[in-house]
Amino acid sequence: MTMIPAQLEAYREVAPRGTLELLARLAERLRGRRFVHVNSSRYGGGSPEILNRLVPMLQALGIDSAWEVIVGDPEFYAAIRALELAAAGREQHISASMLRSYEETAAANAATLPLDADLVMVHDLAPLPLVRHRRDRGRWVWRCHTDLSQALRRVWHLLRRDVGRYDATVFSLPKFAQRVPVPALIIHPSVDPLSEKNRDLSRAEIQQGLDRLGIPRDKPILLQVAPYTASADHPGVIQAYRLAKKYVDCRLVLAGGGAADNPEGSAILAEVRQAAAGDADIHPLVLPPDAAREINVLQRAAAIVLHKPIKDDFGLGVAEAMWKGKPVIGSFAGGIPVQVIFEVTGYTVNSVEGAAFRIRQLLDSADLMARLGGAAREYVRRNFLITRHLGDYLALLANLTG
Amino acid sequence: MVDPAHFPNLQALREELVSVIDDHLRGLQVVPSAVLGEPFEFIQSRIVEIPTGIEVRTLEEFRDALLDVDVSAVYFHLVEARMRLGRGQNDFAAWLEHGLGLPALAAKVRAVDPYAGSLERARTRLIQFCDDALTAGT
Repeated sequence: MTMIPAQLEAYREVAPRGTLELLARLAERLRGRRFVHVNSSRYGGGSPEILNRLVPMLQALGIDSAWEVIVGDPEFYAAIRALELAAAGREQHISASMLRSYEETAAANAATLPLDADLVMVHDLAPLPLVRHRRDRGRWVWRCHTDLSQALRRVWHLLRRDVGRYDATVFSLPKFAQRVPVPALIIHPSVDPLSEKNRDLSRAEIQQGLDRLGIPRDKPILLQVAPYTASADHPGVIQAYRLAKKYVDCRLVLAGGGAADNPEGSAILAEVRQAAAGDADIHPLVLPPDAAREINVLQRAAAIVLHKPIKDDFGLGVAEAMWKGKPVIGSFAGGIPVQVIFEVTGYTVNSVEGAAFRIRQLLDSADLMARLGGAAREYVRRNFLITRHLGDYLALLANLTG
Repeated sequence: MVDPAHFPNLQALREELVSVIDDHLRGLQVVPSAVLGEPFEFIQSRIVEIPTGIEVRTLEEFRDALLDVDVSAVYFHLVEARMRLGRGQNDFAAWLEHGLGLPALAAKVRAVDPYAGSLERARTRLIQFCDDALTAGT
């Protein structure tokens, strides 16, 4: 009989059957191996959100796991911000002193961090140059959580040298990868069904949450959760809502952050508010970065979740909504088409008119909404839960460390 | 239609696919290109085999284990086994026939088409066959 740690036993009700036993058996083979993750923050979305949950699970399974964070001065963080934007394809000025700070910070951290392990997984750009200081023991993997396909040529040229020093890279989607001289592996990100953002909520909790946010529940709610950026296409979502509302009465809730600390966000939010003026059924909400419960409430209260950015990374908000049994109408950006299977778990659309048509179609048929929502939840159960992610990381450890 | 189940190994399947595409290309004046659409991404895969620790000796135990194992075990024994062993049948059918001496049940299991639906659907069908056999007192 395979022993399952209590921390994982909590997932038995939500993970596909047999999953926990498989994870425990695989971990048994790998017991005693050391697996270290390195990133640049313990807080926020992306790698911190997933490492906060995955590292304790790896430890519970008997894998000697640790999570280290590199630290630097303000110039280092400015350099990282510029490099991230350039890697996303936006023109940036990156000075020689910024690059020096980037490299020197890696060297200083490499000297102090305990990186002696069977497998070191380095997440995203900030700690990338740590690999220059790797010792002979162990394998090194670079885990890139973002879309690198549009990276500016000069910046990619700089990064590529470090990427080539790793034993392998891991991308979330094949189309996010650049040509690299080492194996590129594909691991989709995941949602944690027991986290505050995704755990089950009672009707009372949902109602209280909506009351706090000032959202009435008198008509079907359309929801988009996305930061206030130009690429999130808020105007397109509002237009789709308006076209659909001619036929079916509904509310539109736009929930996002990113407006407080950058001028672009503030400008987009102002535009959204202006577009919403005079329509009491449009609710632009500004949420803080730690609004996990609020997002959970909104996704559970929504009839349909919209996610139609022009450009996106994996777009895991789609899987979060699907896990709550909601049909999603999404664009073809980033990882959305991997999650939204047309007419099975939702609809992918190319236009505002297409989105409006699918809103009408869904709101007109409770059966269709229930069928797509149910299939969406099952699809996430099989493909996008943290238990699958954990299995992928264990398989990676097994594969790379022999 | 190219049916992967009809090929003894992956090399034969690969040759058939190349031949079908080659034949199609020969009839074209202009070779189409996915300029506007998404390119096809070739992905290589590697299987990590993990013994589940579950051993069964009777049809009843087999049925119960089938119900509980991760669906990847169904894939491994039902789909991957055909190509891995090159014997034209899956692990389940082989064991039912040679291990338990149940050729009729083995034939039904051999005929399950894993490409016709999801792996979960294939699992459900296998369990149904086992239940039928157990009810009939096999």
